[in-house]
Amino acid sequence: MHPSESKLALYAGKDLGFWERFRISRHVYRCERCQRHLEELAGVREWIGAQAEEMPVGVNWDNLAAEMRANIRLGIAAGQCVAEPVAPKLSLARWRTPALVSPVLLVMVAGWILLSLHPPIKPASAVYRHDVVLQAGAGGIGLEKDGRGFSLLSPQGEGVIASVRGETAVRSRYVDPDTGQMMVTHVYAQ
Amino acid sequence: MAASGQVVGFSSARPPAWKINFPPDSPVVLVSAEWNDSRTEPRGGALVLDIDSVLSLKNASQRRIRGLTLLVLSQEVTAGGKASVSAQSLDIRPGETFPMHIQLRLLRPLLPSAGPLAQVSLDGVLFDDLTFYGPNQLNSRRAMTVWEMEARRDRQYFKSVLAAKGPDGLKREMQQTLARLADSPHFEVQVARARRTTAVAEEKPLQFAFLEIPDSPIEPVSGVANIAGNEARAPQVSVRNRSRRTVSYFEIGWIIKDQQGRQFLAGSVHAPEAGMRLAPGASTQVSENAQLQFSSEPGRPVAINGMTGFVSQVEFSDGAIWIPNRSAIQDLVPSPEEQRLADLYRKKGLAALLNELNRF
Repeated sequence: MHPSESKLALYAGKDLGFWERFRISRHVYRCERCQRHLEELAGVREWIGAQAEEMPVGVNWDNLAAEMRANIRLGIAAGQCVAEPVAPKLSLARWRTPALVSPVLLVMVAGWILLSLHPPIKPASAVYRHDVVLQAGAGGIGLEKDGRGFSLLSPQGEGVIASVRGETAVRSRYVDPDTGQMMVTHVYAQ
Repeated sequence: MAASGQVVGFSSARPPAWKINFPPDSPVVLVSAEWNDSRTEPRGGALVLDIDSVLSLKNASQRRIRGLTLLVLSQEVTAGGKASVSAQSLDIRPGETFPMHIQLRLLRPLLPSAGPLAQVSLDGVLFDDLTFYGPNQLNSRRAMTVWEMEARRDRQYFKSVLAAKGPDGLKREMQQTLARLADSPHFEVQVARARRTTAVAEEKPLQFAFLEIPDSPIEPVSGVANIAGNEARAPQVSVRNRSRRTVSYFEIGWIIKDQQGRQFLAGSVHAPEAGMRLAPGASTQVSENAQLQFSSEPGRPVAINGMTGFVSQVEFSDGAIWIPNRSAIQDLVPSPEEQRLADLYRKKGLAALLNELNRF
C-alpha cells in the first residue's frame, strides 16, 4: 500500500517522525512510483532553495515554512473532505501534490518579487508635535504652520537639488531656465 | 543702514504684492519689476497666491558682481518665516543690468489684506575681489564666498582638462557630469524641530561613515543619527580641529544611501552660526534637534540604509575659508558651478561652454 500524498510530502521535507520515516523509506526503496513522486518533490525543494539564496533579508522564513507545512496538511485534509468517493486515477494522483504546493509557491515567489521591487518601508510611527514643518523637493522649498504656508518654487524639470541645512532651513539649487543663472534658495524657520 | 522702499504690485485695485527695500547706498538698484503669470486661487478656507516675478537690477558699483542674495519676508503669512534667493557665479560688470527671478507661493487665510504680501531686501552682494556689501542677516557673506571659491576651483579644473585633453576631453567631462546629475535620485524631505510624544520601537542608531579628506582642518571623529524606516532623527557629529588655527564655523555634508544603494545629498550638519571658537587640537560635538523624513517623488517612504559625512567648509576666526579640493569629493553630488556649466553645455553646446570658461 502506497503512503498517502501528505505523508510523502512531509517525508520529502524530513518532517516525519522516526518510525514513519523508517516505514516510508522502506516502501520507497522498492516502489518506483513513489520514487518518481519523491524526485518531483525534491526538484521543487531544490528550486525553492535556489530562490531562497536570493531572497531578501528580514523575512521570517521559519515562520513561512511552518505556515506552508500547515497549509499542506490543511489543504490535503480539506481536499479529502470534499473529494468524490472514487478511486483517483493514477495520472491525476501523481500531480495532486504539485498542484497543491504550486499555488503556495506561486504566492511566495510573487511576494518575494514584490518585496524585491518595492520593499515595504513603514514610515516611522512616532507621533510628533510640530511647530513648523519645512519641506524640500523638486517642486520647491517651503514651510507650513497652522494652515499658512510660504514656498519658493523651482522651475519644472530636472536638475533641482533640494537638501536640508541644519534643523531650521531647507535649501534648493537649480539653473534658472530663462537666465541660465545658478540659483540657490533657502527657506528658514525661526 | 537706511532703507529706501519701493512698493510694487499686480494692479492699483489690489494690495501691493511686494515691498522692495534696498539701502540708499546699495551697489545694486531696482530698475523694474515684471509680473509673469501671477495668480490667486482659493483652496478650501485659504488662498493660494503664486507670485512669479522678474526683478531687473543694475550694478551701480564700480566692481564686478559675483553673487547676490535677496531676503524675502512674509510676516503676514508666517510669523518669523523667511527665505532667501541667491544668484551665484555671476559676472555683472559696472552699470550692467541683470534679472533676478523669484517664484513665491503663499498660502494664507481668505481674510483681506492691506499690506504687501512679501518684502524683499538685500542681504548681500559679493564682488569679484571677494569683498562683501550688505547687512548679512542670513550669513550670506560666508555662503556666497564658499560658492564663489567652489566655482573658481571647478572652472580651474575644467580649464586644466581643456588644456590637457582638448575639447573632446572637456566634452567627456561634461557628459559624465550630466550622467551623474541624471542618475541622482530625486527625493523629498520634511524637517521638523520636534518634541517626541511617543517612542519609536524600531529606531536604531546608525553611524556615519566619513570621507577622509587629508587636508581638511577639521577631522570628523564620530557621528550618529537615530534611524527608523525613512526617518532620521537628532544627527550628531564629533569633530577635532587638527589645524593650527582657531575655527569659527564648519559644515559637514550629509549623504544618505537607500536600500537600492542610491546616494543623495540629504543636507548638512553645521556648527552654530556664531560664537564658536574651536582652538587648535580641541574637539567639539554638533547636533541637530531635528526630525527628517525622506520620500521619493510620489510620496513613497525611502528607507535609510547608510550615511556618509564629509567636511564641506570651514571658516577660521580671521574670516578665511577652506573648502575641500575637487579630487576629494568629485564622486559626490556635482557642485553648483559644475551643474551650471553642464547645463550650459547641454543647452548651448561646447562653444558656449568654452566662451563661458574664457570669461572668468
